[in-house]
Parts: sequence; C-alpha cells; structure tokens
Amino acid sequence: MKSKGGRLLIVLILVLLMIGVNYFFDKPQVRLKGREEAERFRLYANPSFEKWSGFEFTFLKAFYYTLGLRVYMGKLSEEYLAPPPFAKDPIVRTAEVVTRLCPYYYDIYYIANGYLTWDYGDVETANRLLEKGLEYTPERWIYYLYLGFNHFYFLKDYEKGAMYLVEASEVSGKPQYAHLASKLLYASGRTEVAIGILKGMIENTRDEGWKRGLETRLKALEGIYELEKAVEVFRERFGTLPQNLEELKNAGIIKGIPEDPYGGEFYIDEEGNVRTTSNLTYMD
Amino acid sequence: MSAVNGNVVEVTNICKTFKGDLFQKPFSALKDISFEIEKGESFGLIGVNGAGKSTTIKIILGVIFPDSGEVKILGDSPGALKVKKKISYLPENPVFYENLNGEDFIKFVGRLRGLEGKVLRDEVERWLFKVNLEKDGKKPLKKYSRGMIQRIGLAQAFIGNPELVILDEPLNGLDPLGRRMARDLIEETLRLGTTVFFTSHILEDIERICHRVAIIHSGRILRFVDVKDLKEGLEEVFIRTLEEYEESN
Amino acid sequence: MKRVIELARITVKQAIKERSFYVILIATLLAVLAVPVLYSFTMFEVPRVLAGFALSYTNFAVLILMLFLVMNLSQTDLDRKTLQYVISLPIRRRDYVFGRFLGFVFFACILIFFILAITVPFVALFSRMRPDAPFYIGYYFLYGVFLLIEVALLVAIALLFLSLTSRTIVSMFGVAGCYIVGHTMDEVAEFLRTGTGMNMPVFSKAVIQVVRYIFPNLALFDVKTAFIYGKGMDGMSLFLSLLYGVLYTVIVLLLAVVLFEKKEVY
Ligand SMILES: Nc1ncnc2c1ncn2[C@@H]1O[C@H](COP(=O)(O)OP(=O)(O)OP(=O)(O)O)[C@@H](O)[C@H]1O
Ligand SMILES: [Mg+2]
Repeated sequence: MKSKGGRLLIVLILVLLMIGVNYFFDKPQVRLKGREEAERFRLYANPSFEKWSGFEFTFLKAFYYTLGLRVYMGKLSEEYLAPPPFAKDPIVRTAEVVTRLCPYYYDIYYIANGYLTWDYGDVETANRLLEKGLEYTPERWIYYLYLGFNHFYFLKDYEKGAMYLVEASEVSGKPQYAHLASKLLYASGRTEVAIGILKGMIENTRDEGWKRGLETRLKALEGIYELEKAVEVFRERFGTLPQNLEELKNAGIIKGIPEDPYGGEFYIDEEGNVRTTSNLTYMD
Repeated sequence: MSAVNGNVVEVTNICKTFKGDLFQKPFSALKDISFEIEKGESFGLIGVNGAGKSTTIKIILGVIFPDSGEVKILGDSPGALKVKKKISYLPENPVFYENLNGEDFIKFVGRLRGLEGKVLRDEVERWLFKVNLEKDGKKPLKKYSRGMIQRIGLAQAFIGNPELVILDEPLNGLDPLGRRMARDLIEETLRLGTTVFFTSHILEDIERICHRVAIIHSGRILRFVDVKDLKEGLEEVFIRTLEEYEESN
Repeated sequence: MKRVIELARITVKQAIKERSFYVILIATLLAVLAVPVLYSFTMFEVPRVLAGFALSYTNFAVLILMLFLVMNLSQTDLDRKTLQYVISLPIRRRDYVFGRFLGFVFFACILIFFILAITVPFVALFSRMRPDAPFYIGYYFLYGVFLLIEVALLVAIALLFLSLTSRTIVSMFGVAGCYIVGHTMDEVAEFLRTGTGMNMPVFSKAVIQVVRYIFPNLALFDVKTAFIYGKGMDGMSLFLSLLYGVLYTVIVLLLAVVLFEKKEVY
C-alpha cells in the first residue's frame, strides 16, 4: 500500500477486475440467447419525431440505425437460413425512419430493396422506397436499375421494366442497359437481361457479403439460362418440349444438370419454362 | 472633475435595499449614507461584519446601484469609463482570473489602465517586485496562496497610478511582513497625492494610515473621526459609539 | 475597441489555459483512428459517410467544448464575484460583453479550424480512392463557417442569460433550451402544415407560432447533409442563412448589452 509499486499493483488489479466484470457479467444475465435474442429489434418513434430528436445529428442517427439493421439481419442469418417473416417489419420501419432522417443515405435503399424483393416479395414497398430515393438523388442510376429489375423480374411488367432500364442507361451513360431494355421486350431474352442487370449490381457493390449473395443469385440464373437454351435446342431438334431435364441430358444437349446454389432443384414446367423448387431463396 | 471643492468622492443620502430572492424578505443594507473624501486624503470606513462597508464600496464603483441618493466620483457618476480610468479597486476575498499567471494578469490590468510597451513591462516588473512576487510571476493564480492573492491584488490596485484607490480590507490574509509592506505601499501612494479609501477591521492599522474615519453600523454612519484629533485609542471610540447607538435604540 | 480587444484576448487566453482544448485535440486524433472501422461499417459512398462523420464530430466537439467553456467562465465570473472586479476595471460594461463574445468566437474559430484540418486529409484520401462518390473539400470548410455562426449565436444567447440572471444553472438550461427548440422548430412548423397539424387546437398552433418567431431557427445552420451530398442548397439560400445568423446574433448581443448595462452585479 505504502510503496509506489504496491499502489500500481492495486490499480492494475482493479483494472483487471473491471475487464473481468465486463467479460463475465455483461452477457448471460441481461442478454437473451439464440433465437430469442435474435428476434428482438429496436423500437422506433414516429419518423418525424426521430428526426427532431436528432437535432443536428440526424446523419449519425441514420447511419447508426442502418448499421443496427445490418447487425440484426446478420444475427438472424446465424439462426435462420432465410430471413424470417417477422424481420420484415423491422426492415420496413428502419427504411422509413432512415429515409426520413437522411433521404440521401444510399445503404438503406440497397438493403431494404434487397430483402423486400427477394425475401419478402413485397416489391411495391421496395419500389416506393426507390422512387423516394430518386426524388432526392435522381443521379443515382443504380436505383433505376433496381426499379427496372423489380418491374420485369418480379412484377412481370416488361414495358415498365424496359423504361426504367432506359433511364438507367441514360443517367449512367452506360449503353449496355439500353440493350438489355430492348431485349427485355422479347420474352426469350429475359433471363439474359436479369443476368446482365445482376452483373451491373455486383459491379457496384463493395460489401463482400452482399456481393456473395448476388453472385449466388447470378449463378442460379446462369444455371437457368443454360437450361433454357438447352430447352430451345431440344424444341428445335425434336419439335416438342422436353418433359424433364433428364431428357435434355439423354439427348446429349447438356452434359449434366447444373446445381441450384439455393439447394433446390431445377425442373421444367408445362409451358417449357425452367424453374427451381427453391424459388431462388434459401430452403429451410 | 469637481476640483471646486476638491472632493474626489461625494456620497449623498444613499439608501440600498437588497430585494433578495423569491422567498426572501428585502433587506435594507444602507440607510441614508452621506460622506465625502477629499483629494489626497486617506479615508477609512470601519464597522462590524455586515455593517455595509462592502456594499458602500460597490455602489461607489457602480457595480450595484443605490435606490436613492447620489454618488459623484471625480465629478462624474460611478461606472462611467472616464471615472474608472482613474480609480482602482481591490475586492475583499479577491478571486481573479484563476488560470492566468500573475504576470499576465497584472499586464492585463496595466494595459486597461493605458500602459503600453516598455513602460508596461517595467511597471509590471516593478510592482511584482514591490509585493514580493517577482519569483511567482509565471505561476497561475490558482496556485497562489491566500496571501499571495492579496499581494497580487495590491499590485493590480496600484499599477498605473490611479487617482483614487479603493481597498476593501487590504490587509486581509497577509503575514506581519505583508501587512507592513501593504501599509508602506499605501503611505507611499498617499505621498504621491493619491486618494485612498479603504475598509478594515484592524483598527490599529487604520489609526496608522488614515486621516479620517467613518464608523458605519447597520447601514448608518454613526460618527466621523479625525485621526489626528484623537485623544484616546480608535478602538475605544469605536466601541463607545456602538454602545451609545445600541442604547439609543 | 482597444478595451474590447483586451478582454477578447484575456478570454482566449483563459480558454487556452483550460486543458479542455488539448483534450479535444487528442480526442480528434483518436476519432481519426476510427476511420478504418467506419470504412468497414458502410457499404456505399464511403467518402461521403466519412465526411458526414467528420462534420458531425466537429459539430459535436465544438458545441460541447464551447458550452463547457462559456458556462465555466461565466460561472466563476458570477459565483466567485470576479465579474464585480472586472467591471470595476477601466472598461465599459458593454466592452465586457463584446470582449467576451469576440474572445469566445475567436476561440471557436481556432478550434473548428484545427479539428477540420486534422480530419480533412482522411476525407480527402478516401475521396480520391473512391471517385464515384465525390466530396468537395471546399464544402468541408464552408461548413465550418456555418458551425461558427451557430456557436456565435449560442454564445450570444449565453451572454444574454448572463445579463438576465445571476445563476449559471439557469443560463445553462436556457442555452440548452434554446438549442433544442432552435433545432426542432423547423420540423414542428413542417408538421403544422400536415393534415394532423392542421387539426391541432388553435391555442397550440398559436403557441407554436409564437415560439417559432422568438427562438432562432438553428436548423438553418445544419447544412452537413446538404454539403455532403451536394444537395438542396443554392448560393442564395446559403447566403441568406448566414445573414440570418449574423443578424440574429447581433440583435441578441445588443439585447445582452442593454440588459447588462443596468445589471446589478452581486
Ligand atoms: N447581494 C446581497 N443580497 C442580500 N443581502 C446582501 C447582499 N450583499 C450584502 N447583503 C447584506 O448587506 C449587509 C451589508 O453587507 P456588506 O457586505 O456591505 O457588509 P460588510 O460591512 O462589508 O461586512 P464585512 O466586514 O463582513 O465584510 C449584510 O447584512 C449582508 O448580508
Ligand atoms: Mg465587506
């Protein structure tokens, strides 16, 4: 106690105790585990209130909330194969709040659009958000790309989809999207269009996790595209549609049946369209 | 300047009532105070704790305002810049800008009193030396002891040769040597023709330095005493005056 | 003017002698170390997000430090009666108010410049690395001007409270209140124009209107997002915002002076 060394030792011990308390007591009591923990999400006030309670720090708030959503979805992905239904509400609410806090913030549109379309099939909400984003940042052509994709791929509204792709091409100055738009109007080229758009999206994504997600999707679509081409060859050769994929293989058009990266199986429906049992989301 | 009658301070019939806070009763601190101080005079205000000495000084400085009555300092109203350029003030229990060092603080005051350049530097050095703080000039004021603060307070009161020096209990907190020093400083300025107005509880010191004394009690001036005419000790006069006052009430 | 400068100088000196100045500079260096962490937290437009962070940090640090300083110095002035002494010095009372104001604003100026200058290389570096989301460094420093105006306005308000009351706690809450109301009024007024707002009781609407016209609209100086994304700001409205800030500050300061001239300093 009296010596300098003694006091230093006591200080050290106390600091270690502090760390120890953090390490041992911070977790189990206050935090829930597993799914229970994962299912909890922050509560928001009404977006307007969220904005004025942010004073001049709304940007930080927007960033923080978006990050919170990403962490939440990340935790869910440890527990669930595909984003569970109850997570849709947090996504929509976060998007509403964040786009009110800072309508220019890119990440939230991207995240919300990704989940809402592919995982929840709520394309209307996704489109509404994107339109809002374009109101504030019309130069972000990537929003047009998303809109175009959403319209043609999910809503099967090819004309509108093509329109958005043309916009994307005009705003970005990239002619390839105009080409895709023209192809879109011919039913046969649609998978190819989807592939083209996905490639554009991948190019514009920095986040590794999201990139991998998009690449999986791309791989699945490429599988479908390959099979679609094979079906076409089969039809031309035999004048009828193949009943199943085995026929394509037996006819020697394809060497093997590609794998659905989502764990589903590709098949051919009555109209000769190539589909997959997974519907391009992870199967539970 | 009211050079006509040579008065540096003229206080006529001032009253001051402190309104107090929300639930406090108003407190009448000064009741009809009048006095004047001549040029070159050393005038002392003595009285028990709470008599109203500091309140009178604050009114003379224009820091607070009287409810009624009139104050003239060097022929002008208190608080006017013209007046403040010629007077200086040492508060009781002074707290100056604590994170400044002594030298910077004295310099700041000297500059405000119109000193500049080399004159300023020399004066700062001279006054720090006079109050025995020449070695502590670079220390921040918050590291000063009580007596050192009092010393720096005296230095700031005398720098720049003000015409009227107002000292509220200048000998507070000083050691015997310091008290001697302070007395010497006051006498020295008096020789230069400066007017000094100060308060103190230590009647012995007052007797030595003052020409004239006013005894104040409960916000009233009870008596003026000319020190050179005194036949007995000031202490006896003081106590007798208070006793007479208590009896008459 | 000489006396004002003298007081301003002593104010800056006092402010610099407070250790808080160095604390903020060190905190800024630490904050800069957080840059790589932020980099992995954000998906798109990294330079803009970083700039948003840097500006928010500057804003926050400067506000907190200035609030602390102004309150701390006013508190010693009042509670320890230094103010009595200071106004007995050869200065006019208004010199004190103006001097303090100029001193604080000048100090804030140094502070803002330092923090921005420390953080700017990082933002510039990332801007260069990712030209898809350009961020203009000129805006970065222009924001400093807006922050300075906001701080000046708040300092003026603090001095106004100093003239109004002798209690630091009152002025602290006063300044905080002005800050909060000043930043929320814009949204509330917006709300009044919506359907729900229209149906509010007349009385509440009247109160909101009155409050709106008394308190400063501080939201005008929050141009961070606008600058970061280069949106919704044209030169004219920027200029008008600055003019508004300057005018409002001058008026508050004059009000403070008028009240301070007649204040009894106990
Ligand atoms: N701000 C104030 N509010 C209310 N009352 C006050 C205030 N300042 C002084 N007083 C009261 O006025 C009276 C005179 O106070 P003053 O400070 O003038 O006394 P003093 O003669 O200087 O006493 P001391 O010798 O202790 O310094 C005291 O009773 C005091 O309580
Ligand atoms: Mg006193």
